[in-house]
Amino acid sequence: MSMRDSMLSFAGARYLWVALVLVVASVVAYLWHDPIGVPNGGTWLGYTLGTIGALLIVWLMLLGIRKRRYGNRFGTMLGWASAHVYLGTALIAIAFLHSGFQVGLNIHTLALVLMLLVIASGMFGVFAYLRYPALMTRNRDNTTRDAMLDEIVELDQQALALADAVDPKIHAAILRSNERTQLGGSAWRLLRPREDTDSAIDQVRAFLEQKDAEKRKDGQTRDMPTMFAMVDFLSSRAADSKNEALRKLMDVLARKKTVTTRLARDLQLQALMEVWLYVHVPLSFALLGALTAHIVSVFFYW
Amino acid sequence: MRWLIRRVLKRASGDVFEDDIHFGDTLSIGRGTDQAVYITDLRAALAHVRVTALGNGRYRVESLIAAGVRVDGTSQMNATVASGSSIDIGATRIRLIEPPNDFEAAVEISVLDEAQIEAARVVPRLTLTEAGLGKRRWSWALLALMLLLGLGLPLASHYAPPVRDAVESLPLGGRAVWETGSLASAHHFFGSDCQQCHVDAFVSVRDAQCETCHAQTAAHVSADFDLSLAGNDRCAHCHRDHNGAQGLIRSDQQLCADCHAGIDTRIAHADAHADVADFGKQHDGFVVSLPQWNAQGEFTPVRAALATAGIKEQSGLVFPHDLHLDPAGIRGADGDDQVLDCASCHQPEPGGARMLPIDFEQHCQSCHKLTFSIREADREVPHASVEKVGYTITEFFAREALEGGFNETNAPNVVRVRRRPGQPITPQERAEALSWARDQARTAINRLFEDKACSTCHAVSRNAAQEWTVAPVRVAGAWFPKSRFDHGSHTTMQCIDCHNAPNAASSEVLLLPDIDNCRQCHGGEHATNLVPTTCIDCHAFHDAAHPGR
Repeated sequence: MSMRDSMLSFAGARYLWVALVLVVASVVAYLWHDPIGVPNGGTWLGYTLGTIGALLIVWLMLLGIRKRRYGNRFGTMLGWASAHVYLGTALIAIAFLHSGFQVGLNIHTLALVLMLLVIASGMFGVFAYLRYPALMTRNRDNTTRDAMLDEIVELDQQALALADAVDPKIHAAILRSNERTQLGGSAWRLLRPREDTDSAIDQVRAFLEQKDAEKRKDGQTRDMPTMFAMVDFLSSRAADSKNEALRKLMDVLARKKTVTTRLARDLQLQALMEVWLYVHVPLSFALLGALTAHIVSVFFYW
Repeated sequence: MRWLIRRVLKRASGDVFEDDIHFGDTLSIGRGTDQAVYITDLRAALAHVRVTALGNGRYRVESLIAAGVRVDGTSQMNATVASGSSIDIGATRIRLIEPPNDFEAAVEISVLDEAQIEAARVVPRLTLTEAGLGKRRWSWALLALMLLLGLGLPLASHYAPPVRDAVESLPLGGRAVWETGSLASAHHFFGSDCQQCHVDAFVSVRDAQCETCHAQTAAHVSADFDLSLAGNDRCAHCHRDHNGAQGLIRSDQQLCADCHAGIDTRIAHADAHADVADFGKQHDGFVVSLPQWNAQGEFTPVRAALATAGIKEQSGLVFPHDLHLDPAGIRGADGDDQVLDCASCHQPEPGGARMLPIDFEQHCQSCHKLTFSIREADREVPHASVEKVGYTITEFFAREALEGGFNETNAPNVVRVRRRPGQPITPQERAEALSWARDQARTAINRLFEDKACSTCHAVSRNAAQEWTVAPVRVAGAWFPKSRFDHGSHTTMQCIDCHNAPNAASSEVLLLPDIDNCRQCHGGEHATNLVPTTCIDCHAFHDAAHPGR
């Protein structure tokens, strides 16, 4: 992964330079230009920068079409994404120079604000694409999402079978835990996952401690405060089938906790990686609408 | 209460029912052997659910474990449902059905096959799209909203006057969202009526719309100058509204420099002094209107650059400023020395922009007496025309002669003898007396004009008929008729900073400062360490009604 181009370093950051040249040229022209009155979008430079900006916005939005055309050989997808990122960022300068830094409560400034929001969400997208895939790969640890889902179903079955052998209360706790282990769900839950294996583990632990107390009452005074010590104790004593089941149950629950945590993190990372697009794309279309209104209106009442 | 418990057994030949009867208010379901409905599935708790028949085909379902129970696909602790609902525990489905005759309640128990389990399984929503977030419909909705607010409503306001008021009363409705900036203050009174100026769509505001109100606005250029030669001459090319309350009238020097910079290379016969771009850097020295009179005596000032070598002011007046401003003082009529300063004579007009004209009676006469007779030393001629001065003196001596008693040895007897009132005078005596008086007056007039008074300040001469003439005088006029200068805004300065009067030995010395003097403090519009001064700080835009034109 590290040896491959990212969208920022594509072709030696070619589009960074393209964007920089565009911005510097615009700034130089803006400083050199001495318009009638204050700088604004209605001067020849204003129209020029406005045309560049509008064409850029339309072209940037075409990325949504380009990325669906897998057979397209007009540049690589990575190249398009790289140009999209750099030229999209350059748009901030182009737009402000176009307007001569004038803002107001009108459709024109609304278009500017929408554009800035789109760019800001896009910047988070760049961050997400650079950061989260590596985190996802590391988190998955050579397994797949389907394998994790299958394993959880399997572990739930095992846990129920083991719990049934121990005590109805433990069985009910495992049932509850299984029921409450939510994978996915609402968008919010994907981004902020919750996992309920801990409550089952706690209940099993409480049950063990209770048994321990009973045993101590029976004259077994050995002090074994922790659950793990208890499991050791139970196994070392070659305990009866109930103890054996308990030990296995703890193993199963621990494993389930590991898998569900990993899966929830996997889902969370994917959601984080995608969530900005749900802002970026709709706001882009809002921008397209506001931009159209902006262009038509300034020439309508010329 | 009689419950019907019907088990559905799936057979290759078809489903087989196995009916059972349970007596009790409630129906317990679970994996325990004491349960009314016994389920072997491990996913069932020993006592999992209690169902109570409420009558009329309604049932109450209560979970007996904290995990809850799946009723109609959703996990719940308690639910009151109608018949037809089903409870899923593991692979077992318990349908609550309409009880047949003889029963108050009924359930139907079946084991789900693979397909049913798959269908009943809650599909986890693992991505944002599965979680119900969408891009497409939001995109279209926002696009439509923006087009509605930004185009639809404003266009409706433009094309459909009946709905305009309704649309523009909406918070974001109508053409207000199109307004790029506030109108100039003078245009606010019709501000919401866009079509006063913007008549046709996609057509720039035409001059005709401006002239609807501004028909009486003075011409911006003289009629003999075609402004279109200088470029775009639409009103709105320079007067751009929607740039704030003060934005309509331009005051930047670029407005002038666009045409004036290098104007002599572009427009034939252009005044060389009109090649101006910046007060500090590209502006010729000042050109002054010098007083001059033509052969008919009409005032016809000539324009001359202050830098012209040997330039003189021909005011027609003799006035050495240096003598009057002698710090040691100047001898007054009463013999005392008086120290004069500028303000002794030069007083500002009300408002302070210009100086009041110098007035002989007020400023000069206290020293420069216009006396002409030793016998009546207080008697002065008026500071008036040659004729009036002549009448005054002639009439003075005629009265002296006719009254008699004029004690001078050379005078005729009739003049020397004092006559008593009522004493007659003969025609011969009268002629003799008046003849003497005319001689006396002529002498006094000549002395007054030639050596005593007039020639002190005026250029005096005799014409062909040997009559005295005084050259016309023009002291304070419009030196710079094409610019404005306000003395009132320069009160922090001393007069001498600009006008070197104490060293002016003659009134021919032009005491007007040239541009270098101004540039000590004033620079062009973009000057940083000087007072930024644009063209219209001193000049008006081409104005046909300008006095200097």
